[in-house]
Amino acid sequence: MRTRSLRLFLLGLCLGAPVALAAGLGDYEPIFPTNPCQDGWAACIVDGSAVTAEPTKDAAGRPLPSDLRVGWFDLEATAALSPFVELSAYDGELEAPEPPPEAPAPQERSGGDEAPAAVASNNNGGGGDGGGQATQGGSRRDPGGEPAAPAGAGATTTPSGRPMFTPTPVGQGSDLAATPTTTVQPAGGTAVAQLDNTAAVQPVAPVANDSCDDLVALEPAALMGRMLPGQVKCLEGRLNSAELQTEKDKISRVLMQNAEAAGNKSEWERLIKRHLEDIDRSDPNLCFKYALHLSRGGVGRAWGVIKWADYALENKQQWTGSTYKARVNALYQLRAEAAVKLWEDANAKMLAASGDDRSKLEADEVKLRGMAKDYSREWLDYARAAGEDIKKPMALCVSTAGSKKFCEE
Amino acid sequence: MSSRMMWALAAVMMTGCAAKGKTGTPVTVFVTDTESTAISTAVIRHPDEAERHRVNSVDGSWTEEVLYMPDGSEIVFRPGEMLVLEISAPGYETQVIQYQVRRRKNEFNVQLVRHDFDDEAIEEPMMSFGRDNPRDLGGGGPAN
Repeated sequence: MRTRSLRLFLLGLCLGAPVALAAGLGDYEPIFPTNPCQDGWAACIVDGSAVTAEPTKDAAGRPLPSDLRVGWFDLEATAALSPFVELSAYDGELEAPEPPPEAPAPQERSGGDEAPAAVASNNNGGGGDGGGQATQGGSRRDPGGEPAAPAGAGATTTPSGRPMFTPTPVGQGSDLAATPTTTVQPAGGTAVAQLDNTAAVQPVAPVANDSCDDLVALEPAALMGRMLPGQVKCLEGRLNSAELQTEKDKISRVLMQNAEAAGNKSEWERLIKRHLEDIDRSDPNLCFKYALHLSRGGVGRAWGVIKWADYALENKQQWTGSTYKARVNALYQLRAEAAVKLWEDANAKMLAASGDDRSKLEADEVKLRGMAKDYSREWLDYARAAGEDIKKPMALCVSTAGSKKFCEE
Repeated sequence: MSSRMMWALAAVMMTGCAAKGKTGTPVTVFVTDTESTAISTAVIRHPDEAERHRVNSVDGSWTEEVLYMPDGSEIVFRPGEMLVLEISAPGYETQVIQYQVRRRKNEFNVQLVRHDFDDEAIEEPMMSFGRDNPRDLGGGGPAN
C-alpha cells in the first residue's frame, strides 16, 4: 500500500514538473512595464526619483511594477498615479557625448570603398574592433545622453549597415530637437555625429485633426466616444449644410454614437430626438431605443414612449426571427406600461380635483383607462400568439379591464 | 303585564336588527398596498357586475350590503353566503377574493401588489452607422 502511494506520488511529480517548468521569461513581463511613466515615457523623474522599467518598492520594501498607480499592499499612491498629465518636457542637462575614440587610421579598402564608418550606430557587438562606436551609456530616462538614440528616421543603422527605419510619431518627429546637428570631420576622415547639447527635447502636443470629411474614418473614435470637440463641431456644421437627407442621416448617426459611447446621456437624447424628429424615423431600432430610454423616465414621458413605440412597430418588418419576436413583444410592453402610467396619473389627478375640473378629468380617466386596456390586451394577445410569457401581460390586462373575463381567450 | 313586556322586547329586537342594515349584512373592505397605505384609486366590483365601486379616497374603504346585477337581480349579503369581489387599482395587480359573510364584524383588509415595470430586462438594440447598401441587381436576367 505504501509502495503504491509512493509510486503515485513519484508519477505525479514527474507529470507536474514539466508543467511547472513551462513558465518562461514572458511570464515576468508585467513586472517590467515598457512605458511606466504617466505621460508615456519609458523613463522619467517624479518628485526627484527615477521611474523606469525596474520594479519600484513600497514603504515596506516590497517590489511593485513601476507602472502600478497605487501600491498593491498599502494602496498608497505611487509615482505613476495620475494618467492625466501632459507630455513632460525634458529640462535636464544633456550629457556631453563621449569623446570619440581614437579614430583608426584610414585603411585602404579594396575597390576604393572610402565610405566613412557611421559612429552613431546600434552595432554594439559587430566588428570586434569597436573602433569608433558609441557605447550604450546613460540611463533610460536620459535619451538625450545617448548619441546612439534614434532621433528620427534614418539616424541609425542596422547591424548589417542598412539604415534602420524608425517610426516617427505623427506631429512629433520633425519637432524633436535632439538630432545630430553637426557632423565633424576629424582629421582621420571618420564622420562623427554630435548632438547639439543646447537643444532640449520640446514636447509637442499631438496635432488635433478636426476634419470630418471621412465619416468611416471617424467611426472608431465615435464607437469609443473619443471624437474631438472640433470634429463634433465640424460634423454639426456638415449636418446643417447637407442637402441630402441620407447624408444627414449618416452624420447624425456618428454624432449619436459618439455621445452614447461617451456616456453623455443628455446630449445623446438631444441628438436622437433631433434625428427622429427632423431626419429619419424609419429605423425601428432607433425608435425602439428612444422609446426604451423614455420609458425609464417619469409619467411625463409616457406619451413619448407610446409615440415612438408606435413608429417602431410600423417598421417592425425590418426585424426577423427571434429578434422580431423579442422586440415586438418589448414594444407592446413599453406601450402598455406607458398607458397604465398615464391612467394611474389621471386617476390621481381626478381624485384630487373638485367641481367642474373633476368631471373633465373623469372623462380623461375613462379615456386613458380604455387606452391602457386596449394596449394591455394587444400585448397579451401578441405574447400569447408568439409563445412568450403571458404572466405580466395578463396581470396588466386584468388590472386595466377590471375583469379577468375580458382578458381570457 | 307579560304581554307588554313581550311587545317591548320585540321592539328592542327589531331596532337591533335594523342597525345591521336595511337589506343585508354590511361588508367593509379596506384596500391598501403592501406598506399598508390606503390606495385611494382602488375600485371594487363583482365579476358579473357592470359598475365599478370606488373606495373612499381617504382611507381606502368600501362598505356595501347589496349589489345590483345588470339583469336586474340583486346580490344581498347574508351571513353564510360566499361573496366574490374583484379589487383593482391603476398600477396594481388585480386581486379576486372570496369572502364568506359572517353575522357581524365583516371588515377585512386586501393588499394589492404593484405592477413590476421592469424595463431593465429588455435588450437594447445597437445603433448602426449609416452605410449605403448596394442595390440588389438580382441574379438572373430575362427569362430567355
